[in-house]
Amino acid sequence: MNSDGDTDGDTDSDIGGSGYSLEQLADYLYRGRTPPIPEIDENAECQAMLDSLERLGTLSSELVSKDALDAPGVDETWLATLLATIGREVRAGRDIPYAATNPNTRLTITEGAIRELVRAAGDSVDGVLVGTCSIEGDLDGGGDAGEGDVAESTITVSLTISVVLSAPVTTLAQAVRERVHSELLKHTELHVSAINVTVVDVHMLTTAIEDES
Amino acid sequence: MNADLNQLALRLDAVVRVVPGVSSLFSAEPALVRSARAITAAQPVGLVSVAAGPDGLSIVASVGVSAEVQAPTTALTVSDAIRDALDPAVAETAAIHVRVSRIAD
Repeated sequence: MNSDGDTDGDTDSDIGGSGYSLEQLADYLYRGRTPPIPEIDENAECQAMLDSLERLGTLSSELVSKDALDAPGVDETWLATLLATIGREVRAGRDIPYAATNPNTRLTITEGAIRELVRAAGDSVDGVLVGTCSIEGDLDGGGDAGEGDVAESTITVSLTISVVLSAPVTTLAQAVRERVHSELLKHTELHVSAINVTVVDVHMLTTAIEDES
Repeated sequence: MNADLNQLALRLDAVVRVVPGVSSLFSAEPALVRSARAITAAQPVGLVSVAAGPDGLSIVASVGVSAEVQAPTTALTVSDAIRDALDPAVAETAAIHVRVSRIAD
């Protein structure tokens, strides 16, 4: 259980302990999030999942449309896997400390919020869709460091991405790396030792090629 | 949470929501616990968690923050706003935990 219990009672089908499954969240999204459901609207993990679903719907469309022409049937598995991955990643996880000067004040960010930040940063690069995102290292503050001492925390971020080949793969991967690093610098106090980006799918811009021919 | 603490939680909800950089406020407690509390309280319950302990109040706020502002800065501003909203004698000993649960506008 997370320290605040955000994920208390989580099961594979229950997002953020809300009692709502991924399918129910998708239905809620398609209904325009109406009528409002407080258990979803007041749950950070549900909100992260809904935003991911929205972003995924936009970003995956050009990848899926190309894949559907070449290999219909593959996409459902790919999307299902991606959704399951996102469902795991939005879980709040550990509380990562920020520095605080008042001993009676504790400031933290959840592991899930950091993963969502990383995923959104990668997805913000044109033609890129993040597949998996993992953060490894000492997120809690490092060895003997006390609560709130994050000065020695060093992490490694690893991403897999699918790309539409609108630019050289290395250029896209570098753009992802830079945006992720920039966001982590801005919103966390973690030391990032490496950001590993692995391109797992490359899709050609068939529309552009067909238009030119 | 007794009625007085719940009233304080509701008041702190309002305080946190208007802190610059805060884009959303989430339940600081597990959904099941909050639902059970709402049923027994028979009145709206706060999203900020307030509990009384031997050393003073323990307050937890779970917030979504704007990507435009550095998240640690907003978290600190929230904790200051909560402390400022408490009676001075209570504020001195209150343990305040601000959790950034999302960074999104």
